Amino acid sequence: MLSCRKLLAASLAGAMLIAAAGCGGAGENPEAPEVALTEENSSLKNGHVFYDPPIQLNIARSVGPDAKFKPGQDVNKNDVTDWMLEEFGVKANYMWTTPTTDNAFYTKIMLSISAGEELPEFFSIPGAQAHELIDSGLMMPIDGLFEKHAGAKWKNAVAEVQDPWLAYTREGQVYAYPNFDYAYEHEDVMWIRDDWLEAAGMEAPKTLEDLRAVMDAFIHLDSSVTGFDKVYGFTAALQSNYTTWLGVNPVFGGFGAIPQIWMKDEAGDIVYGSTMPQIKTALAEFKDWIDKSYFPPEVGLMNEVAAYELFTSGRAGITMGATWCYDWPLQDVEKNVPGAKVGAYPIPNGPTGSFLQSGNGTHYQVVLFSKASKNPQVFFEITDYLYDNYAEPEKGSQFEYGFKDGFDYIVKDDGTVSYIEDDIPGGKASVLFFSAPMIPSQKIAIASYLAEGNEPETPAQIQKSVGWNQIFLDAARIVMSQKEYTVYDLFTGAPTPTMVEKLADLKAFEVSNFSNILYGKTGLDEGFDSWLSYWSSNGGVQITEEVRQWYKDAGGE
Amino acid sequence: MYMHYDTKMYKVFTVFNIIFVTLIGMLCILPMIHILAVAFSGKAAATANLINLWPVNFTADAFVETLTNRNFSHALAISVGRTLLGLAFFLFFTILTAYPLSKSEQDFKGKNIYLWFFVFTMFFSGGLVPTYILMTRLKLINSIFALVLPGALNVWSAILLINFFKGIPKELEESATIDGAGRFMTLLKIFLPLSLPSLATLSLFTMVGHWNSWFDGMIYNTKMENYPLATLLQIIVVQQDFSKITADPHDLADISNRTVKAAQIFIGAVPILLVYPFLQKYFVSGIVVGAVKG
Repeated sequence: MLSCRKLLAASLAGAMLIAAAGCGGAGENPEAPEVALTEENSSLKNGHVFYDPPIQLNIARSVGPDAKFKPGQDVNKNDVTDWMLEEFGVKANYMWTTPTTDNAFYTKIMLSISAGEELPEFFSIPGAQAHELIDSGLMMPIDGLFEKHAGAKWKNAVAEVQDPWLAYTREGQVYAYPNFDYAYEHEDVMWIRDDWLEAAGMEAPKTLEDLRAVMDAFIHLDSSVTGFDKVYGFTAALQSNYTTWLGVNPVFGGFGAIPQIWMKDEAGDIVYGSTMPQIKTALAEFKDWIDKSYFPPEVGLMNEVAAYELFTSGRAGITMGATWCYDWPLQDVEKNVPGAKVGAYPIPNGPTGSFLQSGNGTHYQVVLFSKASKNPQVFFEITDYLYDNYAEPEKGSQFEYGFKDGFDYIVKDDGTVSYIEDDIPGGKASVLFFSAPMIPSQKIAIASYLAEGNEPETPAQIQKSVGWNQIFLDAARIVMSQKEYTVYDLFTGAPTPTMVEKLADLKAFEVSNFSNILYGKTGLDEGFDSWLSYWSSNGGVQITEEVRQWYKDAGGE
Repeated sequence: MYMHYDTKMYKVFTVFNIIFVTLIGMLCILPMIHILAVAFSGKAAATANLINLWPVNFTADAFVETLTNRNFSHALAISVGRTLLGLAFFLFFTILTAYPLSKSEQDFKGKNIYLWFFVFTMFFSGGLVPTYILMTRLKLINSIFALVLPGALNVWSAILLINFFKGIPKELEESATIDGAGRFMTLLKIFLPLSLPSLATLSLFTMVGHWNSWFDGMIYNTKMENYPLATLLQIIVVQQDFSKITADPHDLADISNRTVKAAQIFIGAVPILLVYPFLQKYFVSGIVVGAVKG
């Protein structure tokens, strides 16, 4: 009995303890920032701003699986944060971090807002999710800060981008800084099994006609050449997203239209690409590819992974994908199939005599600044410094080889510089700035320069070209030569009211309807007409009106 | 009495039954074998999906990489910790809730009010945001208790247990009372030992639940170092959209490394699988049959 009483007493005590923990009150914060000062304590050091005493930035970020830290370092304490403290007097305090997957960052920021917690002073978030936050009125306009702090190099980099601020402008004020990505690196080239081309005695196709001939030759190759009883000419992901990274959007584009993006028709009006008549002709073409077994029979159900598996296992001869597709995953076919060789080729022209391909957008993430931010200018001061000194470093300067010796590269005893993981004690760490100082054209420009046989000379060329191979350089040269054929989705704003209500339904109908056409379940004319009438009677007309209005309001031409 | 066991039809049935059950068993184990085979294969073969049930280009690199990854072993330790602590909390609160509520209204006045008070929470909860605010105000962010306390009392399990307690013959309790046992002694010496099958089942549900739960691990922690294994695996297994990240080929190959993913999934599944054999012996019913004579 005694032991039972003790048990009860203990459980009661436990319950009280838990209750007591709740009585702390919301106001007190045990981790109160030691320093929280403003612009007033700034002075100049080495020609840039320096805060003394240091200021603390309360920020947050998502950390992907590609972020690597030195042993004992983490997102709040690493060589980059140390450098910011020493060089700028800025203490970066990441209040929280999330994974990059599953909208984790968005979930967390929304929970923070609902719970009335302190928002990060600034943070990166996918552009598509930024609109809701901007429209919540909790974010700060930043055009003034950018104008004031951005130097010539930074402004030039931004000027490379068409309509950089369009999507995030509200009543003439800009509410987000887009983290611009390298341009063109996600643009498509045609990847072909060179060994099959050779076995078939053919040249790389330059037109749709040629492409059909090559695919036909590939599927009739002897199994002693391919190693399989049945192989396919072309592999692609046609499951639901027709502009994805191993898709056929350049083939669609050869007919003059790209599905699922907003583009201009012949009259110059913005329309939803999938409703253009050219798509019908393209669908007829793809139906033929399925009927003739150029495509694998399940192509309409394949995602990107299924698409590249056919290529890397050696059962498909052609695919279209980004400049990096050889490095991963396509080169694996050379390991799996003896004698296999992959080459990069320009996209063949369609019946229009040229082609179009859908661009990947100029950025994926944007930086938002909370209205409560005490020191938003720090983001611009440090990023501007990086554009001046880090993005295109001078020979002999601090960042000539990278961020720091022993951190992301190492100068070996013999004086050579190595970027190889195993050479660097503790491994190669990721250099995590608030926003990477990207010059959009830089990467592919360097790659296509090197593709012409030039040796890397400038520090930027040497740094960027680490680990590049000839096939990537070929691909880079190809995308540079065909860059005028890239069209971008013209609608980059927040989903319009009718889109929120109807677009998911319209897209579902589009995909199932197109797949019925591809597999011959409905006739081409009948199927495409039913898609057009479904589009116009289920909100498509209103959506088009809204998109045109948005484009006009945002100042697009 | 057992004559029908000797009939020919019964033998035929037994043979087919065994084949059928074996096939179902195979269906359960084949995915694990496939994952194991991928984990022991070369990277290129895995990218091309060439592996079925036997490794291609055998290598143990993926396991070495996983086991020497400090983040992984740390997350594994957190998962083991939350599962054991969660189980302790669960048993403590659920048993202490179920026992009084299994008594009759005469023994426990107002029992039904309490019962409905609990049942109400089964159907209506505050939802994500209020729960998050509660955890924040309780200062449980980054604490393992944020993962353990919300599920400490599972009303559904408590109701199961209430019904199980009710099914235990009243005579057993009376005999204990006659021998001088109080309420707690009766619980400890009569009810709990007789409830082992249902307690084992509920414990298993709870442990598997804790082991697999990833969302709470993500939102109640501000640092990835505190993530339990399920949250870490969730990040790894979810397909990244490669057109949405800056493409460093080295990173791309790393992120999409199927062999390491397979090794992590396999190692992540093993500890919870090990629990089953230990609980198996309690999955025997009919313990109270024949306890009361006359």
